[in-house]
Amino acid sequence: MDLLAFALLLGLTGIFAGLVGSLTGLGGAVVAIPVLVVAFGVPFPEAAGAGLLTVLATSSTSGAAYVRDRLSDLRIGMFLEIATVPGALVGAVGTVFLVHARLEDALLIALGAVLLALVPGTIARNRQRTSTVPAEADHLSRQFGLRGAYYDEARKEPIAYAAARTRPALGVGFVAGAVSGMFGIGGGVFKVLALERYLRLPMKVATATSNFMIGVTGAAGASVLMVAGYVNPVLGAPLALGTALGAAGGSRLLPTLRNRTVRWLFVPVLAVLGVEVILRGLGLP
Amino acid sequence: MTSSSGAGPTVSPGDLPASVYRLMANVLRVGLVVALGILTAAIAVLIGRSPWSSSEGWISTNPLVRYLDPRVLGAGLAAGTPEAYLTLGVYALVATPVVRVVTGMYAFFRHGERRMGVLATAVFAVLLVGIFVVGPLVR
Repeated sequence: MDLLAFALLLGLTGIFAGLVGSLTGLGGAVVAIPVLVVAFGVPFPEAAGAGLLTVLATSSTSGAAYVRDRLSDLRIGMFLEIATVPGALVGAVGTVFLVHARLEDALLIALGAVLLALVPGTIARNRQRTSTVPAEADHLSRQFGLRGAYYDEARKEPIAYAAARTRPALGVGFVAGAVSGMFGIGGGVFKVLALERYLRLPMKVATATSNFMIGVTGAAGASVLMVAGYVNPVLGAPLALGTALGAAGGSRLLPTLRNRTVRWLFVPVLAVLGVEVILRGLGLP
Repeated sequence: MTSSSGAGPTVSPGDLPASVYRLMANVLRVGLVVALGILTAAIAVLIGRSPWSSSEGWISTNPLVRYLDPRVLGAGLAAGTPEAYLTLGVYALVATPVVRVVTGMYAFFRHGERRMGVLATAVFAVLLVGIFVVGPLVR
C-alpha cells in the first residue's frame, strides 16, 4: 500500500477507535492496537508503541477538560501514580524482553484475553450505583489528605468522598500500569477499578482521575518502547490525530445516546477483536 | 465557586486553589496542541514528499530510531527533515504529562503540602529513571 492511502486509513482507524473508545469509556488504543495487528499486519510491539501515542493524545484531551472542571482529584491521582508508573516501566520492559525472546505470539494471546476480559465489565458498568456515604479513610489516606468533594450535576448536591483501602489500591494500580506498558493500552478500566472499588471513590471522580493518570502511565511505557525502537511516528501520528478527533466527536455524541445502546453496539466489536487477536497469536487464519 | 463550564457550583477536591487546576489544564492543552501541530505538519510534509512510497518500508524502518541521538535530531531539525519533526512531535506528546507532574510538584510545595510534594517528586524521579536508565538499558 502507498504511504498516502496508508496514512488516510490509519487516520480513519484512529477516528473509529477514538469514537468507540470514548463512547465505551475504554480509550482508543484498545480498539486501535488489535486493528493495526489484524487489518494492517503491523507487528505487535510497533502496534503497542503507536497505541501509547493514542493514549497520550486522548488522555491530554479529556484530562485537561476534567481537571478544568475540577472533577479529577489531583492528590489521589498523584498518589496512585507512585504505583502505576513503575508498573508501566515493568510492563514495557516485559514486552521488550518477550519480543526479544520471540514470544510475540504469547503477547498477542494475552492481549486478546485482556480484551475479552474487558467485555463483561463494560456491559456491567452502567449498572453500577454510587454510594453517597463517604468511605472511612485509612491511615495513608489521612496522612496524604486523600479526600474531597465534587458537585454532582444529576443529584444537584455536593458529594463528599474519602479514599479507603489505599494499600490494595496501590497493588491494583501497579497491575494497571503493567498492563498499560505491556500492551500499549491506557488501562483505564483497571485504574477505575483501583479508584472506585478499592479507594471507594464516586464513579465520576474515579473516571476523571483515571483519565488524568493515564497520560503519565502512558509516558512511562512510551519512554521504554520509544528507546527500544517500537514507537514509529509514521504509524503513530495519523492514528493519534484520528483518535483525538474521534474521541472529541464521541464526547459530543455521548449525551445523545443511551448507555445501553452504546454498550450493545460496540461491545461485540471488542469481543471480535479479542478473538481475532488470539487467533493471530495462535497462528490461525 | 462555579465550574468553568458554568453548569453549576463545583466543590474543590481537597483544598488546592482553582489556579492550580487551571494551570494543570493549560499545561495539558498547550502540550497536546503543540505536539499534534508538529506531528500533523511533519506527516503532511512527509506524505507530500513521497506519497506513493511503500508503507511497508516505513513500518520496517522506524525513522525515530535514527533521531534518538540529540545531535542527529538537532541537525535534522535544522535541515527541516520531516522525520526529525515527527520525532520532536512524539517527544512533545510524551513530555506533556511529565511536565504536568512537574507542575503538580511545584503546586504542592508552593501550597505547603510537603508530603504530596515529595510524592510528586518521587513520581517524577521514577519517570526520569524510565526515560534515562531503563529505556537505554533494554535497547
